[in-house]
Amino acid sequence: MTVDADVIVIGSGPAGVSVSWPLIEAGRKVLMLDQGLGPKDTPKTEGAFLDIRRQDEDQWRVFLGEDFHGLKDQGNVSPKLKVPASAYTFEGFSEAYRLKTKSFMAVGSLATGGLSNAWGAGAYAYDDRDLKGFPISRADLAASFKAVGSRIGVSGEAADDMGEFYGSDVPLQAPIPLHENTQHLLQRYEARREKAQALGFYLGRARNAVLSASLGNRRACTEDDMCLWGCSKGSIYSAAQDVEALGKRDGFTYRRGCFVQAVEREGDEIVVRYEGGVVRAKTVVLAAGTIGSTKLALQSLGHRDQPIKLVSNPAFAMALCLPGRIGRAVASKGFSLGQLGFRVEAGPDDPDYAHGVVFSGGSLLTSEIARHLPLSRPAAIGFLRRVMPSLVFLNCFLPGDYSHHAVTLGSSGELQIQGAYASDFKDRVETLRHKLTKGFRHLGAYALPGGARISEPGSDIHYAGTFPMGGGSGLATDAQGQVVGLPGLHIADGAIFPQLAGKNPTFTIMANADRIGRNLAARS
Amino acid sequence: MPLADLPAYTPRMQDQETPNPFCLAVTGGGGYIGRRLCRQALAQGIELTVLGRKRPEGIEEGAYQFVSYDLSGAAPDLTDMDAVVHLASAGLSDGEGGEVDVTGTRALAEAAHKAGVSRFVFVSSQSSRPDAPTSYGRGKFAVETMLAEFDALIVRPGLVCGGEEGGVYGKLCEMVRTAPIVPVTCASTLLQPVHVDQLCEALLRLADPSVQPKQKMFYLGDPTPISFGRLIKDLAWTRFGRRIRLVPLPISFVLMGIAIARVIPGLPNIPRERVLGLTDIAIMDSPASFEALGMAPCDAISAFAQENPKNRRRLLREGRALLTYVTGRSVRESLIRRYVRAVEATRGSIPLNLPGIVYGWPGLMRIFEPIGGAGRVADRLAIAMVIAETTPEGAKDFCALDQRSWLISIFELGVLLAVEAVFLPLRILLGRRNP
Repeated sequence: MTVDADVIVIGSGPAGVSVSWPLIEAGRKVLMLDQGLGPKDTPKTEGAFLDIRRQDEDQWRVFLGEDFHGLKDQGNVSPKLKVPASAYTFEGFSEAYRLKTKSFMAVGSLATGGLSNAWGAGAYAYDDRDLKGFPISRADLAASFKAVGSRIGVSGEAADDMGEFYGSDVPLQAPIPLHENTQHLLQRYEARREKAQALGFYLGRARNAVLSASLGNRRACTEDDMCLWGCSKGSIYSAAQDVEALGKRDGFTYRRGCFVQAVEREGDEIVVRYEGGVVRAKTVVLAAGTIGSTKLALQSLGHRDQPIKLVSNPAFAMALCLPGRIGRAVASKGFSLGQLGFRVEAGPDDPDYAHGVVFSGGSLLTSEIARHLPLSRPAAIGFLRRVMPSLVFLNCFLPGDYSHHAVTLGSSGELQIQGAYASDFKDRVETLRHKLTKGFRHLGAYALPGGARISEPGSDIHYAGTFPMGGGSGLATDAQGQVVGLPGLHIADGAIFPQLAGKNPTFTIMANADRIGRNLAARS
Repeated sequence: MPLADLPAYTPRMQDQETPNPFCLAVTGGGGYIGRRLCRQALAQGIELTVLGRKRPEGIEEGAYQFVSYDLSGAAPDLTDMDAVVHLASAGLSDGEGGEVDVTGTRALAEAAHKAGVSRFVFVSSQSSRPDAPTSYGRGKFAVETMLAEFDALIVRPGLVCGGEEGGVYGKLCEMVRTAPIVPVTCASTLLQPVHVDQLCEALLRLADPSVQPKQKMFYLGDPTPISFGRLIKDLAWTRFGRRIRLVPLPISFVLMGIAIARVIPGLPNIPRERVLGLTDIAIMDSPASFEALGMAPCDAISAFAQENPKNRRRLLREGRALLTYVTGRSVRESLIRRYVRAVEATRGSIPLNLPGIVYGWPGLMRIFEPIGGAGRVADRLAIAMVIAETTPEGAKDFCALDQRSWLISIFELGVLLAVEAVFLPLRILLGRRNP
């Protein structure tokens, strides 16, 4: 049989494109298979958030959607899952993989570019402490961080208190200007650094895969506060941009409409079946996202009815008020993804830490916050009208050890996921909340009553750990992401991360996929 | 628990004919489900034979064949039939209806087998279980077990509702049609209603002999169960526009009442079975069945709410009241219509049943607004808020577009919280969570 490509890559998200680039650079033929859903023809709205809010009669189409998508689930879900323009990103995922979840919110994507169409764009490099338990070190990823960083464009600051922690060797564009509130926090931090650090609290600029200077056909951020609702300038990185760029290169083929159903080894080849087609290659890379890749790999191994562990980053959110800023007008421009990054160290002898980002509420609807306030609706609206401009929001991630999820491939082909947090998770959140409250108080920001809002298991959408690299002889992969027992089949996404640190993992997943791509390209 | 987050059931286009017309025999075609099924079958161009004690009302007699048939009598001739949907049952009446159901159904299935009928669909019940509290449920289970040898398809519907009044649905309608106070037992029992038209659509899909389903058992009911008490209140409100008060009664009391009513002439004869059936209902995993049928689960209560055009007017009235309340001023008609479209698209068609005075004086919602974010009222208020916010006027209401001095702002906030504190005791007393 003739093979269809040197390497078949399944999935077009951040991991899929990152593993493909080095192969294409080395002159290999890559076939990428993908369901490849695209945006509905909702016109991208030019103009700043506040201008649209003040002038556009039809703004409800942008914020709620023609079919009122934004009102479908009023539960405690992240605002980004309700955005009409990104609805296609999550569409059909759970049905396609036949997910059955219990106490777990499983989010995934069948779209071109995968979940990166609606990500927070945090670009944080794992360091050697984070890579504990991995069969690779930070040095093994250094070249890949550089390559991926310059490809996707990362803005941030290398020389502040978070620079080293986020990776000082990552090529950076200038940071995007801060909102007045976050600027205020950072100035206060710089003035009172010792007090904060005595608590193990560190603050600096966030790192984002968002452009402050144009790159290729992507334009620089204009601070229109539309980050959440769909950036019209392509400033926020999406793997869909890479799929387009790869498509212009010789040797790369993108095949849309192929939802892969089975991957099997036949002789010395790997056969990939999707509805309406079969393709084969000596090397196949699964990059369908942790849940998708896990299901395909479990099927290939015939590993059914036995639960395996799934890791995620338990998270919580808090709102903080800068009381001196009550009464201000809302900012007319801004950037509403992560502005500041912080970490809270557990202690001098404890390697555990939590990491989070601070947002301005610039692109949130007031109602999104008002419905959580213990006031009558008119009072909540009146209260927030005056108080919203003084608020900042933080989202804090804990290491993967605090998640105790299990995933099982059922005998009739469904994928069951059972979510749970570690028994000491709530205590840990309490300690952290306490430290954060204290740390931010030094900076003049006060936590709103109501405490920390703990997110439902899985809703962090950082999934990993099912086929750990260097995980031995069971369900595992080697350092090149090759599935133990299935030579030729590799995994390049989060599934092969043995553990998750408190940092958002996507950038490191991309660097690791790039590393795997380089190693595959280097083989004859 | 999510609120009604499913769309209401929208029947397939009535004139949409099935691509493979076939010959269908329906037993119990004159009953509550039967006549809806017959109508749908004829609309789809299916050749129909009705087997039963009475003809389906409201259907032209020449449109179908009618064969008088009783479960306790001789099996009918099923020659030339492609499929049988078996609805007839000796019924909910007390006694050994179950025995007749088993023997009668066996005779029917044998006749179907002999005549080479390729599909046999039996309509069972959610209550079907070997250890069901009712002989009805045990009887249905006995029939299902017996039918295993005939390769029949089994459908277990939850409480069937909607359409013309009939069956248990008809009895519930009777209960709430006039009485201001309705005594109920087992008000917290969870039910999974299914709209009669959706059930019929499923039955016709299963009867189609050209489609081979992968499974034998289908569970049809709202995936999100609703309590019996809630269902009765929603029924009274959406169908008759009535607010009723439920008086919970212990089950033993009700059973005693039934026994007494039976011996006193003139009092209604309620079968014990119907009450016992509420005591122990197992929740069905229905989404997989809907998926297998290629149908989307729907909110059955919303579906019957849609049957009454008054509910749309009530939703408009509700929209006006809530939007006026959250913004503190009168709102455009277009915004009210947007609210109704949003509610219908994402929550279904059940209007809130707010205290009447609120519709004239929306500001009074201030005392009826429940504390906390749970329940239908808080959910609708959240929708009203977002609809009001996403307009240019909303930007002014919800955002500080101009700067104001710190001192004045703090003063305003103080006043706002003081007013809130004044209303708090009233809200605790009068707040309506799920009217």
